[in-house]
Amino acid sequence: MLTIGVDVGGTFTDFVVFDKVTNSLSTRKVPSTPRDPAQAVLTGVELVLGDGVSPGQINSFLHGSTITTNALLQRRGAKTGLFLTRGLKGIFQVQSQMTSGPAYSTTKQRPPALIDELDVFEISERIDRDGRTIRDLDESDVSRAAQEIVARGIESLAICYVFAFANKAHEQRTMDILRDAAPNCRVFCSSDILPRIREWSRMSTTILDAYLEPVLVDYVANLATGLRSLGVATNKTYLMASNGGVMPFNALTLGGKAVHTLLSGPAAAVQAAKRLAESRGVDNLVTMDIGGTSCDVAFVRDGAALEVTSGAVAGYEVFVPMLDIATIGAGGGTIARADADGRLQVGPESAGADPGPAAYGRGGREATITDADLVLGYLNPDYFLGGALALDAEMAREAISRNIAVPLGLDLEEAAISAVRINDVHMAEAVRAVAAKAGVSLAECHLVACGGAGPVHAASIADELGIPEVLVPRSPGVFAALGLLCTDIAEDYVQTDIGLLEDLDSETITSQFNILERKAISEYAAQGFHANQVIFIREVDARYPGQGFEIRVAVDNPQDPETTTLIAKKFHSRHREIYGHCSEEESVEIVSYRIRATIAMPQYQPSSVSPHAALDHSRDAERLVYFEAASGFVPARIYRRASLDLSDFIEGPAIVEQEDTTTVIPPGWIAAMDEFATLVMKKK
Amino acid sequence: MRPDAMTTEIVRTKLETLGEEMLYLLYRSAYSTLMRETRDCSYRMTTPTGALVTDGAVNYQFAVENLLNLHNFGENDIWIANHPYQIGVQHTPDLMVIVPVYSNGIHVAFSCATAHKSDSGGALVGSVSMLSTEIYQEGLLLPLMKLGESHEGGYDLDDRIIRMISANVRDPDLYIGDMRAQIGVTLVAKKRIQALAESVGVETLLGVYEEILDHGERKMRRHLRQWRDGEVTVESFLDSDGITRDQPVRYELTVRKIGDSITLDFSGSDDQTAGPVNMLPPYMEGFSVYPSLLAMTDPSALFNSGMRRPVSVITREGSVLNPRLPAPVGATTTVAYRTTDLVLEALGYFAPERAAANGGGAGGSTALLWKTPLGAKGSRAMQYEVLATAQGATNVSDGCSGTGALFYNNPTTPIEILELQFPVRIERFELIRDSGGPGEHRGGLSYRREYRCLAPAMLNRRADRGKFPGKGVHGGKPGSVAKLFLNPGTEKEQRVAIAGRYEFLAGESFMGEGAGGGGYGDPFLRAPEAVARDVALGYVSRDSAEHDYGVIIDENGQLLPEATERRRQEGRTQASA
Repeated sequence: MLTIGVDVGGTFTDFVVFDKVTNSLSTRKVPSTPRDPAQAVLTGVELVLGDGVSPGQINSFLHGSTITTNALLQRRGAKTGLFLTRGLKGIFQVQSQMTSGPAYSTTKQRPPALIDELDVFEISERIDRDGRTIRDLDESDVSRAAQEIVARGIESLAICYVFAFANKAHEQRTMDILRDAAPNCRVFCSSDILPRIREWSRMSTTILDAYLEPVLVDYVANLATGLRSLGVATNKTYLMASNGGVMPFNALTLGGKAVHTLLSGPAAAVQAAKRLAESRGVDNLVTMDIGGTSCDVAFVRDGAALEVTSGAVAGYEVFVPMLDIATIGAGGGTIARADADGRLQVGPESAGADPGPAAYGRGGREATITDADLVLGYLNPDYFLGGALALDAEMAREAISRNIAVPLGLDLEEAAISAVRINDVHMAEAVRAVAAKAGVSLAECHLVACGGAGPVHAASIADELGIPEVLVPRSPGVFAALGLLCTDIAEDYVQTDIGLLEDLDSETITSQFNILERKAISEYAAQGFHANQVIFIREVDARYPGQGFEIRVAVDNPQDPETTTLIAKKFHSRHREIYGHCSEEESVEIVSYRIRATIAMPQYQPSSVSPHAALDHSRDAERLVYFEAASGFVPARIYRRASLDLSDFIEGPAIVEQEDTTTVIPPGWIAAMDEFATLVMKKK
Repeated sequence: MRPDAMTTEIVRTKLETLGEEMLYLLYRSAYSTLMRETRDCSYRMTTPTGALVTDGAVNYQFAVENLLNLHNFGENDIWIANHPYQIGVQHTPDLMVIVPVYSNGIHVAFSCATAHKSDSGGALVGSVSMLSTEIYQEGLLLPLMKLGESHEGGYDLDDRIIRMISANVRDPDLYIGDMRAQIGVTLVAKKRIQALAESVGVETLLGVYEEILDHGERKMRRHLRQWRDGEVTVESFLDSDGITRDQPVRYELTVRKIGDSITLDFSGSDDQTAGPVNMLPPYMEGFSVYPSLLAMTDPSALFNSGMRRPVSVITREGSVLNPRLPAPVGATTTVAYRTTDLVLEALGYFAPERAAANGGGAGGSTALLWKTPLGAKGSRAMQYEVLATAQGATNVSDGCSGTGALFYNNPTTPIEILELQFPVRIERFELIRDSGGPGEHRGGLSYRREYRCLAPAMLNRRADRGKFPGKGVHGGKPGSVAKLFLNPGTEKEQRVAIAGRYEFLAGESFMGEGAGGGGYGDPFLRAPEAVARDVALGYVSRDSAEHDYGVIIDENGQLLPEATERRRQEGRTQASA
């Protein structure tokens, strides 16, 4: 019985194959195929099957994909239209009224609209705040617009009327008319996708879903067909969601799910970090996944990954629960150069993967962090990506000399270490700012470093942040794929219904949750799950009346007669926790009800490795590596990760090399492998 | 010895993050909803002489310099002030906390935070209004005063000052609560700066300041050298000062640029006014001069005081941009749009490719006082919204529609939230056809919002550009002016002055329209297809397409290329004749 986890990255598609019975794990990397990501996925599965695995042994298939994120970035979604309430086209045109870009710029714009405004139709109707119809739906408006939809070749349609969360009748009726009048157009109602107050939030989320869902559904359908043609017949196929849970493939066709997949990739890595923390009995983590152009940062607090209820992906606002993952524009490809006024400017520009660092020899002339890492001896030119990409140290030296050392009058090594140190401080300070925003105390955190460039710089960053311990997972390069095996099925549901807590009781609150729970159970039933498998987490969004934002408060047992008192108590104390004060005599207003419906999945538990006879490291190399603390090059021992043993004790300066990353252990740091094969670095 | 490039960048990064982090801390620890939601607050550290090294508005420098000039202070002091004439804040609700920072007895920095208070006392709720004629009506004035001292584990405040403030403001708990949040944040930052000074050394820290300031100066001079030399004078008007309704207020700027330095002379502006549209020089510099200089040179750069070295700003005492006491300064938000337009317009002469047309100015505020609040679901008596207008066009693109002009960037209140909390219905919300100034790049369109009052109410509206539209540039035409209609679409429809007080019965309505952004370049050069699309979207009327753009569109929305060519030819002949 095997479980396969597949994570699609920009460069590689990563596979982990987990055997539940023997608790063994194997990994594999296949070059990604960005034009048709499914191709690399299927190629990899074929390779796994070539290893003597029979298709029937594959019991479940879990997938992390950037399909919707990339479709959004490249604007390759469906041709989408929008229906909105007549007279209120400004909701679409003005959006939140905000623009993006530097504060002092005369050329600020919104991100390009996903819908051509010519495909936006005003429909006469109006619901008021209490859900009462104050203007009937004009069905002739709908019919006329339907003809336009067909004529204009619109493939997908979002309907978002004001106060539809309070009364969905007009949206539903519109959808019914369209079913006959425009049968080939997929239709999405805001009252289904996000029945929550705030019209632009709801509209933006519904548009994103309508725009991306056809892409997602087609992708998953193709993938499922491909898997079946390889003989993989299991219907336990799942896609990673932004909330850190997974969704069954067949749930995706129900509608409204695409918008929950925008962080499918990075969310999986956070789950892996969480599991790593559990295995070591650690509660608080900061994870840094440093790649070529950017660094994803997330937090685990008290054992739970931090979440937000809205976010922006590629500048588009989406209002669904997602892990709180911040992206910092710094990585191995970050460019360093002396600016025109004599300042050493590091980032935010990046050489990306193409042409990439000068050392890649692909025509890049900019000096990058990777070039500096090479000059300083952190990277082994013959063992980058396990030797798959030979680095040209001469090109790296030239670029650093030309762009930094000569204009600033520095030695080559000084120039290189300056670039690296500045970049490390940039990342550390960015983490500090993100932590401040999320209200996380870094002093209590351990740092998990992954991604190709993470473990190279982790110790230096940890030093900056005052974090005494760094964890480098066994396979930092397939960390996200591993994370897929560390999660449950989880779906979020929300419904706005505003009322003062003092006017509610356990009965009314229970019935609100019941509506959402019934919806979840019926959706799960369609996927073959039984009601008694579903575990509910219940929350309300609450605030003091008049406040413009809400706080999520857990509701442990809505049937408890004391539930309203408990909610109020929790709300006040959470308010105090976040904002430093609360007002216990004030009323509390409930704005929305939320549930997360989860179904437990069999999960990967890291097994302890058994000590093998201590290897003789004397054959391992030694090379000169530059450290700021040493003010120059010093000899450092070079270890291969695969040959490390539980009994090994590494004292910096040292370097641990493996195919997917390089771990730099500076002077003053020590490292050892724990029983789960995690490399643990500590400050002496 | 000057610190090396690496040390400079590392310290610079840490100081920049400190500012960002303290701002989050300020939001989170703020007591009032106003401060948390509108985020009308800021944190800055300065050098021991008041120079800003990590962005920020010039008024902080002015405030610290005044503290240094006027007072002696101790290592652990906590100072406060809100007096615009003394610390250059925009208006009286902005309270500033200033804390000196010492490391081993050496003065290394000031740590400062400003936050807008919901009320600072005075004639009207909120303290600022278009009605004040003396700053004394705009609330309690706090000159630079020592409020208390910090010590290990906390601070002590002078209870007499706290009691005096509490006796003068309308919501003392909110005021004092937010002030304590400001004090807390400046003290957290103080410790952080001390730790930084300790780790890199005081000499190095002070050396880094100089490096940053010198770099800012070099950068500004390099950009100025690239501009042509010369002199230009521009003017701009505000509808009125709010008191003398029919009298526009004139702002004038002459810019002289020679080599790598530049002078901005505002002396020609009108004398100070009775109404609160006077602005103090430090605020004007911080809000209009340097942001505009950065926008015209390097928008990605952060301001620092070194950039002031090649720049001189001249204002005339007793004028509207350098008033004498007791001139009121409360309503300067609108003025800030005007002075920024003025600076951008003048700088456009020196850097024509970066010139920007005027934006639509302040969208103004719409305050509705409900006489019979519904009482249900958290409704309040006072509904308050700040609306946006549009951006002017640039050589890069059309101006952005329905957004804050210039450097303003605030969200709108959702319709569903308004209707939930107040007895109001938003009947219309849409971009206004022909509001964007015609041009090769069109000015941004402003929006209209129609409010139906479901209960009796009084409207108090402040607005801008009712008489003076946003200008175009390089042949672009002006945007539309702002308008206000009572009972639109009914027999009682009436166009009225955009600013003022109006009463409504239940069922009556009003509609506000913001001013549009100006256009960039000759509208006859705009691609006919782009004009046809604007017509199809309802952004431009067929009439305007023909008269302003020389583009002929038939009644089915079809572009007529030959007729267009002829029309444009005629237009050019007329223009050259």
